[in-house]
Amino acid sequence: MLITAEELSRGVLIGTLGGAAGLCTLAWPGSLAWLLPAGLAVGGCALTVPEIRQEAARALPYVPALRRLLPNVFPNGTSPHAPRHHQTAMPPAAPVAPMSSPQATPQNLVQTLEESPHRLIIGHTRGGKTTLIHHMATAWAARGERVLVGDPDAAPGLWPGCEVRGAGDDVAAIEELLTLVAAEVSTRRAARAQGQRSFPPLHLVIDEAQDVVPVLPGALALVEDVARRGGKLGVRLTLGVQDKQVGTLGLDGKSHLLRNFQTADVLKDRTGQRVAVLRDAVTGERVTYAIPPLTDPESLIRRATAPVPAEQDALLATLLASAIPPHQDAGECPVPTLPGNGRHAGNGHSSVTVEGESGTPVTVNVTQVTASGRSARGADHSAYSQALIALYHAAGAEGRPFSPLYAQLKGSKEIVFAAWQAGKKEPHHA
Amino acid sequence: MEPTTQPSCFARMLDTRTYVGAARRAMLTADATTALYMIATFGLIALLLTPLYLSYDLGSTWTFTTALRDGAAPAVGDMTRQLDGVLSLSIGAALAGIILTAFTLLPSLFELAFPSIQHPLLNLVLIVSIVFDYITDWGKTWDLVGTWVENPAAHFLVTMGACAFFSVGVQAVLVCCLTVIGFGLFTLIRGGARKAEVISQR
Repeated sequence: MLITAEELSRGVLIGTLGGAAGLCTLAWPGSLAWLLPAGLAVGGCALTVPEIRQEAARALPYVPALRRLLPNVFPNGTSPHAPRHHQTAMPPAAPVAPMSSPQATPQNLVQTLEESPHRLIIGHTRGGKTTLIHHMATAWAARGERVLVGDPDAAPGLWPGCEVRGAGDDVAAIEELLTLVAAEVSTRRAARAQGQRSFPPLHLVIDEAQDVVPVLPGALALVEDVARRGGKLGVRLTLGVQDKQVGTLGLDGKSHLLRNFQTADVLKDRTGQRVAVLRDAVTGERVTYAIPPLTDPESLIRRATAPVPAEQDALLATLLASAIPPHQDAGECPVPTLPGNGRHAGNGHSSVTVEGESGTPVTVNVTQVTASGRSARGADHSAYSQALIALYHAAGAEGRPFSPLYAQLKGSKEIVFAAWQAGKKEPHHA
Repeated sequence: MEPTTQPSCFARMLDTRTYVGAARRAMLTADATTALYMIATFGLIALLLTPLYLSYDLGSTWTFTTALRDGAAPAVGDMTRQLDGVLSLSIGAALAGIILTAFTLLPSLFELAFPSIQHPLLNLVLIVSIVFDYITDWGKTWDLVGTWVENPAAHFLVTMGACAFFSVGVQAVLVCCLTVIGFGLFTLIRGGARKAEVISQR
């Protein structure tokens, strides 16, 4: 940019008012008449400094005429005595807009967050950051966009419409998710090299990123790559963290990477209302958005446990083969027994009617819903975990220290540390 | 995390630190011949600008701050006499001259130093220095422009531009020239950079 509006204002003020002061020194030598235009020049230039302008705005009375004269000081008609909320248009007595006001919807906050390809949502535990992330992620999924979520605290139904990994602190599953994203990034990059410039949005959401990104191999590199160049590939990153220290995310020496994120601090203001504090990209000022009540993600967990129709498998075939319509002669119809304990049975219909020993019909509700593909992946994951646990157990028995071992083998820290400790406790066999 | 933006061309023009850095980089990597040429060229520019600076900027401010110097002279004199007694050296007179001259140089020093530091209060001090320097330089510049232009409006507008040049532009260019001369002399003494010839064999 050649010159900013503030610098141009300063130049014009100094040139004209300073010149007027100079003329006063010539016209009335020895008098103090030059002080007035000089003071106006200094005062006008001082108002072009954002920090001084804000302080002056707080000291000025709330007058509509001033509001019209200084649109930059009073944006959207806000009172200078109220906290600078982008969603409020109330007099000083009510600094926060009522919920019924159209400006109080989360759209302004979400729109501002979505203007940047990547977001860093910061908030302490139980602060509301996951609620905000959840609101955005489910909105993206509702729009038909692909949303991949890595959440160590996930639960069934918590992220409707999203592909979720990591429930039960399963960081290995999140690693699979990141591998998938890395592959997609490579594919899109290759397509971009062939001339394709437009890609459907792919959202990667990682909640509690401070517990995920530093411990997973390749996670940090992926985050860096996506933060720097993912926007061009339609890959949009949203991280939820408890603080924005670079060391927390493993970004020591790479603080400049955070410039690619729109940062939002989720906290409670003095009135107890949850607010999000963002930085204006142009002026660098802190802007506060009120967060109206959003859907509680926890309330969605129950809805996902309802039985849904699924594919048939061997169990269902057995049940269906033994089912007898009530009006037929029962004969000696054996009651079918469930093979195994039902957990590994796979999919089944929502209900099947069979006839019991007494001839009365018995309805069997099959509510286990597990995709066959997911069962296979689950089996592979289980084998991988078992092998990792065995390695740590053996290393503990051999007396190897944990830290270098973890740096080499990785895995879910809580689980492998327990295995290593268990190995340590076992007596050595000569 | 704050998204930082590139300063505008105008802001970079006022930041003398960037000139000094560029001049230093240019001279330290130059050979002796180039350094000599740059010293001559920038020396000539500095020679032409110095009378302008002394007359229209420093001289104007010196005149304006006469009352301030006269008022501070007794206190400065007492201080330097005490210093002579403590150090047993006759440096009081020289020191008094330096201190009193500093009143004149202060606005210029603020203009050179403060653009490189982003702070609201320092910005305010910088603005006051620029306005003060501008007003003190106005009189002589007005008389000079009066010899070229008769129309009052044009007289005012041209004086605005000329006064801005004398109060800010001249000293910035002078600082740049002095930097080039200084580092050029250093390069000459050091012998200049030797160009390495890269021979690639296939």
